Amino acid sequence: MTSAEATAVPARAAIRKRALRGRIVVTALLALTAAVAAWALALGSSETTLLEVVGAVWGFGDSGQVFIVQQLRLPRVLTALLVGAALGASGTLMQGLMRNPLASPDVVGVTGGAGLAAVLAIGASVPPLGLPVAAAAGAATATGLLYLFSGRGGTAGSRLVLIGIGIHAVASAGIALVMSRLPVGRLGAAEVWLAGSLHARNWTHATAAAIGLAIALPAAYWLLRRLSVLELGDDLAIGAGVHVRHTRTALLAMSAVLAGIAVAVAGPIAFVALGAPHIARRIAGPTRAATLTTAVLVGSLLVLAADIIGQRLFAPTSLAAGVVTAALGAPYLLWLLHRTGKR
Amino acid sequence: MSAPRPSRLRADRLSVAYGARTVLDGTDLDIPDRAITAIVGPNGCGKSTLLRAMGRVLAPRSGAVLLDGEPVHRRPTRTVAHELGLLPQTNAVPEQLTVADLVARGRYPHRGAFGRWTRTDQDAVDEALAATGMDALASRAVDELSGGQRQRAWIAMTLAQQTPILLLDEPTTYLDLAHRIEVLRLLRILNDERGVTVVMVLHDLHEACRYADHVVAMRDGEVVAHGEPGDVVTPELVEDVFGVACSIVPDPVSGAPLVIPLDPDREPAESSAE
Repeated sequence: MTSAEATAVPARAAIRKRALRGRIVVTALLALTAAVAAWALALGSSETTLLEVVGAVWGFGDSGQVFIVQQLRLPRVLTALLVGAALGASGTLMQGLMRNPLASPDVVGVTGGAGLAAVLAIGASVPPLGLPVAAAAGAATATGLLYLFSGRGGTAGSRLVLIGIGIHAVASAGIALVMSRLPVGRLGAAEVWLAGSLHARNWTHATAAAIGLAIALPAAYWLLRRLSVLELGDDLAIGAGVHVRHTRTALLAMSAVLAGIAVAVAGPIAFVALGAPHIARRIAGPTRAATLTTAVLVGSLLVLAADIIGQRLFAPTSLAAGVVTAALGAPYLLWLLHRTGKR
Repeated sequence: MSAPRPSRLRADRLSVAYGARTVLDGTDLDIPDRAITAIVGPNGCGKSTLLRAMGRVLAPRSGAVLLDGEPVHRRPTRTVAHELGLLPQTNAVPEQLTVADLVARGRYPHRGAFGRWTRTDQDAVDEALAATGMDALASRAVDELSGGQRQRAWIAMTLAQQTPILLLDEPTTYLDLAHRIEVLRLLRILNDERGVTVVMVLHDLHEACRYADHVVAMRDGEVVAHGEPGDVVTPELVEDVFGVACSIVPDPVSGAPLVIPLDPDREPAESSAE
């Protein structure tokens, strides 16, 4: 864009440029996600070509291959994408709500609460399908405490983050305590769950996550425009006609539901809820629909990529996706802190 | 003095408290329509509290803020936002947010959660940017602007809301002289050309006298005096409200009252011979 054009109708040009950027980013990410997902379906101990995979998804070809793709790989890939999407959306809402780019459900104790409930459930020998329910209940309890302690109208910024860090610390201590008391036979199951893994996720997981997202994601988009005003300050948002208290409560609840879906299905997958919104803001700009879509897609890509890396890097030994995201996320976070410190 | 002006926005026996501390206790105040009102007073006198209560940021403990006779706190907040714009003293700037984007967010009350971006929205943004002289900076990031430019960007956002009444909390604080004058002139022009009712909290008495039609002086949560600047700002009032002895002369440019504090450590210079 030349400067002459910029001064002619600058606001229109700026807003059009911004909309175009959003569309390009979202389209490119959709294509990339589809490509990586197709590649993930072709990967595995039995070699499959991309063409065979595409056929097998729709039930064509060798029956063994159809089974492997439809029943083993497809639900796992879909679960990874859905979990990542939920984490990306959850982090976007929470960072906006707390006006803090370092806030995320894993930092403020929502994920920690889920973890504590899950290890307790494992200790009580709850059947496998009860585990996601326990995790979701734990996430909800932690969020309820967060809301309760923040007090009336006190859900503002840094205070909420500090309360969340406190809840996270208590949950972590609780997890350590429960783990030390678990019988050796159940310790393994607890460790596997706490690592955050997509191992052996089937259609039940994928369907549950899809149903949850089908409800929570539209709600997130519905809250987004309010969030874009709220992040400018509480007083300003009130002046612009946003019901701040209701909006804050709804944002916290939706962020927790989204994080709860992810953690119930895959366990705590670290860093994605923190990193995905950050990456999204860098490539799609400040809060608006395209930024949320970008965070959702980046989250999907991160979890899927982490799962692929975890399966392939040290094959035949596989790493949990949560271990991979934590290993990659830690340096990214340090770099982020370094950068914010310099500004 | 002329007959009282009509008033859409009123404080009616308004009491506001922070916890146990009562800041306003039964304040009555009519804001004259299509005029500029400046609220002045020492720190902690409740002037910001009054403005924020009128902007429905603070809920009254008793009494009400009435807009066209109806309490603002009971009306749906989005419909109030069509009538009443508010610029708080401090706001948060998200990283990399452009001026155009910021101003566009001022359209929220007209768009709601899913309303499409219409020609009316775009025209309102263009107009707000033009009125504040921010059009050339529309694609710049707000966090990279100077203080004065940034304040104009925020004012542009509240203008895009297209409200007949605008409340501003210390719009000139932290700005240097040139930027202060720039902001006050902009408000004057908005009032002259569009008939926008402006209510602002100001620290500088001379700025208040020079740019406002109506001055409200507060002390300890009470409105001590209000009216035209020349009638309100007298040596007795300044002594009473600020506890500062002063002499007041008409300023040589506008004729508005200019407050010159006396120095208690020295005798006032009687002669101006030298």
